[in-house]
Amino acid sequence: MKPAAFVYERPSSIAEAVQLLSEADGEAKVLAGGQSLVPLMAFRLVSPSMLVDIGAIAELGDIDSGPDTIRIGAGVTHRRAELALGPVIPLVAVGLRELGHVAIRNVGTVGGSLAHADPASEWGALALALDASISVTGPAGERSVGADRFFLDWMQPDLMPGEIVTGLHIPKPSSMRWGFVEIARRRGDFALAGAAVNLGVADGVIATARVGILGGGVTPLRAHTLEAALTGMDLVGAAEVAEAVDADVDPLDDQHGPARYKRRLARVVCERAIRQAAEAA
Amino acid sequence: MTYVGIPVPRTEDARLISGQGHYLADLAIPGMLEAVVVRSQDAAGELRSLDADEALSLPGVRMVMTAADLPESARAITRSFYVLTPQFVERHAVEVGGSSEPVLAAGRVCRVGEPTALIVATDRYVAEDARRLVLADVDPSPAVVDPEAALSPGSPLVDPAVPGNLHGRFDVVVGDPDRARENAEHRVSARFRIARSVGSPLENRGVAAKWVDDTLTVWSTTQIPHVLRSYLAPMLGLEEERIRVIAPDMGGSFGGGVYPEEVLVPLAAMRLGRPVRWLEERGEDLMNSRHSRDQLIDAELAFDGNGSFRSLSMRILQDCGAVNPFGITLPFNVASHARSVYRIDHFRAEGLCVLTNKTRNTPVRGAGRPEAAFVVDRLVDMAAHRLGMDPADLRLKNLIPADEMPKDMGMMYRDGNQLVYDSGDFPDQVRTALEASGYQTLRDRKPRSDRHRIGVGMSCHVEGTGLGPHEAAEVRVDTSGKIVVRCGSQPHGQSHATVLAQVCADVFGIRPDDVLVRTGDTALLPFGGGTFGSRSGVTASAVVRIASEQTRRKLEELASDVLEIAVNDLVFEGGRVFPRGVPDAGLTFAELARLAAPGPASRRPHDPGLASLNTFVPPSVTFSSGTQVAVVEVDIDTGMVEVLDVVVVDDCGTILNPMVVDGQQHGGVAHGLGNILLEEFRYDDTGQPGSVTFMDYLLPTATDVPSITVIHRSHPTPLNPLGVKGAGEGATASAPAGIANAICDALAEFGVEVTEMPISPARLLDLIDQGRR
Repeated sequence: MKPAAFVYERPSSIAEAVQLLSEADGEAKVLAGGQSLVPLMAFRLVSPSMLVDIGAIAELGDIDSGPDTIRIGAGVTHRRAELALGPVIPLVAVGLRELGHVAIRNVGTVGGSLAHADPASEWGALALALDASISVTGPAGERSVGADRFFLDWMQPDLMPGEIVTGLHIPKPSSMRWGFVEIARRRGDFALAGAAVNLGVADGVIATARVGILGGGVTPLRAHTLEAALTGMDLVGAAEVAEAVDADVDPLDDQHGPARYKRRLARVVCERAIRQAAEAA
Repeated sequence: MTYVGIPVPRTEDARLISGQGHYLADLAIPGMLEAVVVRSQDAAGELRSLDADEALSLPGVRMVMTAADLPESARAITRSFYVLTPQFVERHAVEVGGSSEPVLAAGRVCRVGEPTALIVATDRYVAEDARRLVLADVDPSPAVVDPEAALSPGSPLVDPAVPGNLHGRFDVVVGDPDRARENAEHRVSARFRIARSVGSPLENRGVAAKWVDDTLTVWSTTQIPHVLRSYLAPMLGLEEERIRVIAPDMGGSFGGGVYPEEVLVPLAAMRLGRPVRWLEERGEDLMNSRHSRDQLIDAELAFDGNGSFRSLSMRILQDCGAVNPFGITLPFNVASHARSVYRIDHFRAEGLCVLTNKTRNTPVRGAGRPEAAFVVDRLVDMAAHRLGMDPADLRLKNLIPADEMPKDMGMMYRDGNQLVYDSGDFPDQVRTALEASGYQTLRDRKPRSDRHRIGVGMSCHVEGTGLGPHEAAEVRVDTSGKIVVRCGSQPHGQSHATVLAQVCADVFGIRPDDVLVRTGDTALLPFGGGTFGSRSGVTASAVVRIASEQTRRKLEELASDVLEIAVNDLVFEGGRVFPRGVPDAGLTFAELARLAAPGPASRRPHDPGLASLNTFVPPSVTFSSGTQVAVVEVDIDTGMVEVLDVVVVDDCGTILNPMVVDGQQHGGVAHGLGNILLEEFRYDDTGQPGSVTFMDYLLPTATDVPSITVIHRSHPTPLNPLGVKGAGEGATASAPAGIANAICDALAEFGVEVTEMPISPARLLDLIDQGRR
């Protein structure tokens, strides 16, 4: 359980980090909270030649609340985000409570979780449900990617060689009804299924619906079919259409549950999250 | 004041919880090298060659040891962990082969994880670098994975020396089970599948060794230092006198035996003349160390319309893995505990030990009792359902009454003695559990939503505890006046220092603080048993009591002689001995120790010092028992189970320290809860293990374990001086069955019958769905 030898760098600016990564020709990895990378290295499932520790880059640690969006720096820990966003976007805080345990949330980072792109990522589902975008900086400069387009395939984010995630931009919802439900074998485990539901409601009717699913396939994903079914429905009773999510998910088998079981759970979490949104005061 | 029976705070705690424990990983010996083990990646095949050249050329690598480097005497561990008497073998039709576990694979590999080489290097990093460079050339052959298929004609053989892959069998017949079965009005039967689980301590295994002045010191995370020494001496060609085995502080164990690394690391230290340490990785521990359970049991309970049990019959298929040093131990434990607290006069249990290309199965906490309780108590609930009776009423109707104790169960225990429940009051125990849990009103509890159901289940168990062959202790009066206890049984997380001090203190009329308990080192005393099978509370406390009494007699004799007072007129109090009514005229233990010291002026020239080395040989096991009531809530949309409450009523005889016993019960419930809800070590069809991290192998965490109420109903045994019965495993036995019965109760509307351990939420949802149709 000891990693192979590697070079360790701790740059103090994004530009420097990007340069180190570019020069390493794909052999370097970014180290943030290390909650996924370090175990992978200890198992020698990955053996990068260099670690670029971005923990000393001050600007990645900021949370900025603008008039329309909140920007969370990639280096912000889950726990800080959970506490800071609770009063502003309670959906985020409630969702993050399912992310591992406090000890993990105290160390793991927003950017690390997005870049790791686990299909059971709470951040992924939240970003999708909240129409967030991810800022990325690389040798060619900075760009912004909508969460919809960021998760390309299993553990594969839209990141080019040398690029790092620098932040997550969440539009401030004017008013929203929301729900978050996750099911895992034990508290803090990776989700078997989870749903983040964000509904815009006018006069008791669902005007807009965004549903982010975790554990529903090879990436965190949006439940487009379910969203379409929800749009235009009365909020009360909307949970009845939860099974529309069937068309949106394609879960993977693993030893904690076969795909057909996770498909069932996807319906259950959507139904319960929609009901939560409807029942919230 | 006396201390046995009082919740004396653990003397171990301050040291251990403040980071002062000294574990194997804390061991620092100058010049120590680090070792890693290279392991087979194939479940079965011919091991044609092992190329270590590249690994050896890596700077810092000092040695790569393969099977060819082992002396003849150290090629395999061939001793078995049991002795069966001829009478036992004949009575229960036992057939069992020998066991030979390669220390390093030679010629063939028989499971994934089997050690193929040991690498020793200057540090752990280099050793792990080198591990990737040792190349095994294996010609794989089909693996035997399914124990039923293993028995079918034409199956590949796991071990060429074991025909048909059948390594052992027995057949227990009590009464006339066939006739009783035929005459019974009802029968319920099922096939029970109990998965392979892994005893998973916080600390993985480890071994360190140094060879200095032709003397070998071995540190090992072992439960049995003296036994390990007795294995090592012939294998390493050394006198026992030249081997010292130390079991340092340990972060748990749950079972085990003697492992190849315990031979390899000493050999490497002897070859290199340098201290060598091997620290196991978590993945290695999960894959190789304490696999257990893994049984397929076909069982049937026959009973009459009035609920009286007539017969129980079962066939136990034990998946032993690739070698079987424990023989029939596990399936026979199922057989000998299967009738639990119930009066079942006619009984048959056939046991089959089958080899497969998997890690060897070992006794882990419970060791057959959780399986037995699961089978019989699920059948009891099925019978109650059949009859429309409350399961508690059906149990009460069939319990062995207290006035039938001691109860001869009509068969032998594994130690060759007649199996006799020596003490206990099962009806009182069950009624206590029902009252304490509020059984009658539990079903009225409201579930949290209309998608949830609440259920109540109960389970009982018995456990033969305090197995021999012996335990040893020396009790000595230190020149400081404190009493020193040296014991051959040592903790791997238990409370020897606290509890043995309580036992000793009572004999001398002193406080436990004035007793120093030393364990875990073969240099302390010549004999020792160890800690396994719920035995230390029974055997270690017994021998400490005996040795303390004998040493006290020596103190008495000396004080009587010096004070010129009859022994009967002496009083022991506060570390002093004085004539009754004349406290100022006495002598302190320290003064007496000085008078007894060797030398020209010694008052005990024939037997200097004040010490006694004794052994205790238990006549047989003593049976503790317990009853649990579990309350669960099941989500009928997801199959998720939450255990809300568990009430434990336990009879471990004389309670040495109720706080310690409570802790054992809590741990046992958590372990059993993990077994029924979470824990499963999987192999795929090719024998590749699939549960080698804690992401895949799920243990219960703090959020999974409910509040546990423990109630003691003590019935001391006549079989040892203190009346103690074991407490370390029992709660593990009842927890799975109690929770399973509660799940079935919660899901009665769907007709769910849980017959597998663990029951996963996915599987439970399938069962709910079947009931919905």
